[in-house]
Amino acid sequence: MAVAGITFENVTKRYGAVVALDQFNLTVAPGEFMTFLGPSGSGKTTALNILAGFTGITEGDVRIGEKSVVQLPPEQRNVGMVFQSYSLFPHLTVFENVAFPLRLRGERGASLETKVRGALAMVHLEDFGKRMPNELSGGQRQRVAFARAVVFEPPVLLMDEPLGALDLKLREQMQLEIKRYHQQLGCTIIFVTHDQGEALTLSDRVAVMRDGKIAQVDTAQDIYDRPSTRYVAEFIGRTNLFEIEQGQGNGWSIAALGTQMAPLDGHGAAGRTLSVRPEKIRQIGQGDPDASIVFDARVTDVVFQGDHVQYQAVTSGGAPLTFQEHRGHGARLQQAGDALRLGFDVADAVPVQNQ
Amino acid sequence: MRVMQTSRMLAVYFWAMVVYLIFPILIVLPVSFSDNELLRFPPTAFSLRWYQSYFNDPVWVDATLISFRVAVVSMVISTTAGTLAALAINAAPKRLAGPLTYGATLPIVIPHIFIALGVFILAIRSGLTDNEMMLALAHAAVAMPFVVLITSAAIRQIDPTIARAARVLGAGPLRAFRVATLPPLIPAIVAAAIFAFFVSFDELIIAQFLMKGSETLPMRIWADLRLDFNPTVAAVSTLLIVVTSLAMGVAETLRRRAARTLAP
Repeated sequence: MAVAGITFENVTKRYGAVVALDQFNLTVAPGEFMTFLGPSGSGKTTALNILAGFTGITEGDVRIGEKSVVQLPPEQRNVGMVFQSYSLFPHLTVFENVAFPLRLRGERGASLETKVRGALAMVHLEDFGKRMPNELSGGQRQRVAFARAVVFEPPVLLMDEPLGALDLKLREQMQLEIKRYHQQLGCTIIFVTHDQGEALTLSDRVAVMRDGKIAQVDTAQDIYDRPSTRYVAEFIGRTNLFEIEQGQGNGWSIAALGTQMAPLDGHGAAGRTLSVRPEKIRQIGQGDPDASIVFDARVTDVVFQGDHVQYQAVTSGGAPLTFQEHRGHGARLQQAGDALRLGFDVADAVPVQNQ
Repeated sequence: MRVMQTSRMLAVYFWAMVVYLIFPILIVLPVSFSDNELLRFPPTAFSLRWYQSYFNDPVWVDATLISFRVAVVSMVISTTAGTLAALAINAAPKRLAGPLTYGATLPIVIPHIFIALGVFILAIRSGLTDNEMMLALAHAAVAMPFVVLITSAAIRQIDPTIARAARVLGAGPLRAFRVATLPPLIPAIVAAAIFAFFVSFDELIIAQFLMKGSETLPMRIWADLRLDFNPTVAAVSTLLIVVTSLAMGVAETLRRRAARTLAP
């Protein structure tokens, strides 16, 4: 089965007065790993259920490959799906669970056997065919669910918070596995999560969702390094936000830092805020290279985290600030109350829309 | 010291309750093995003659067969209707689930005598008195709440996304129901069916109102107690108790096993 892309075209879904998805537009390339990231109620699960065929749409069009699927029931869409609750058939063995979609497609005998064994081998459960689902651990169940979802080689695989029920360590391990499966299978994956770490680790591109709309869709790195709005900057990782005002001439003035800077792009400061990630802010001292924006601050709190230290500080302009230091070369630990000279490079500062 | 006293008192209370609950059995059981001509406690001599008399008397055997037929029909009707009702309640919007469950289980809180009276009037009007089918229908109505409650509990245990998983993997709605929703429910449905069977098999009041010429087993027991007063009744009762508890034991085991395999 060929890999297929996905197109959402002006898709709106209303439940009475509630708009779950609002003029949603998105094109996913064939073979792409796309993550819908957002808090609950942002519309990410609605978008996934629309793709699966569990939820109808009010307006617009949804295509898998070239074909509109709006009128098709779930069983005719030929997509694989993995659920947060695994959703294995409790009365069927692991083998029969995985064989299920194949049997529905008329597969029998040796060919069925080979395909099921192949799928179970991929998820390292070749010897578990005779077990019942309730005899497996959570991680193993999710692997079976995965094997069942891809055994019929669907062009598109949907994953609805598949790691949400697993503990942290297993989750990290499964993330790497899912990445490997994706490379092996090459199918298009739509992955829904509210966990930003998961989104950044797995995805080719991330669609950050808010109120039924896409706030930003970009590669993981660009979402983190170049957030377009205040919402995205705050939702992904930590950040410092500084009000900017139009200063003299063309320049921007940052009251919180008591400094001026040249405008970062052609646009004005109106309606925008400056976002600087905590790890981009560093101490400026003797021998240290200078930074383009330099300001004074006083440490208020020190959070020791082993490989790095996180400092809370207040700028001379009275604004709270977080910065982070790696403890690579015996950097001296600051104390609360210490006065510091801090700075960052303009290249690391991102003006974001106030949304 | 005080803890010891409390726990001893609890033990006494526990055993008092147990004796209270099984007291009728403690009386009936020895009487059924008695050799006396009349119902009498305690028996002075022992024999199996009353069991023999039950199996050899066509009146008793016929009554048992009628009860069996009525119970089977009633079981099939109430199990089917009750399971479907439970599925519908589960699929209904949340705010309707409460009222629907209440409606479907209403016969539990209505005294049997009122149901009996209502069905009796209906039967007279439609000329269906002394009709086994009519009795089976009435019994099905009384048994259905139990089916709804037992199967609902099992349905709630099932992961609601299982049916969705079946759909998206390629099964149509009916097939998804047959292969995904129904099989995990079967132990609970069988348990509910056994329960429904005995609701009908043991029921006296409605049968008393509806039936005239033909008698169900509870009716025969009742009539026998008033007329004859011999220990055959005790033998029948003992058999009923044994069969019922065995079947209920099977039902409960099934229900528990289902709960265990369905647990996420």
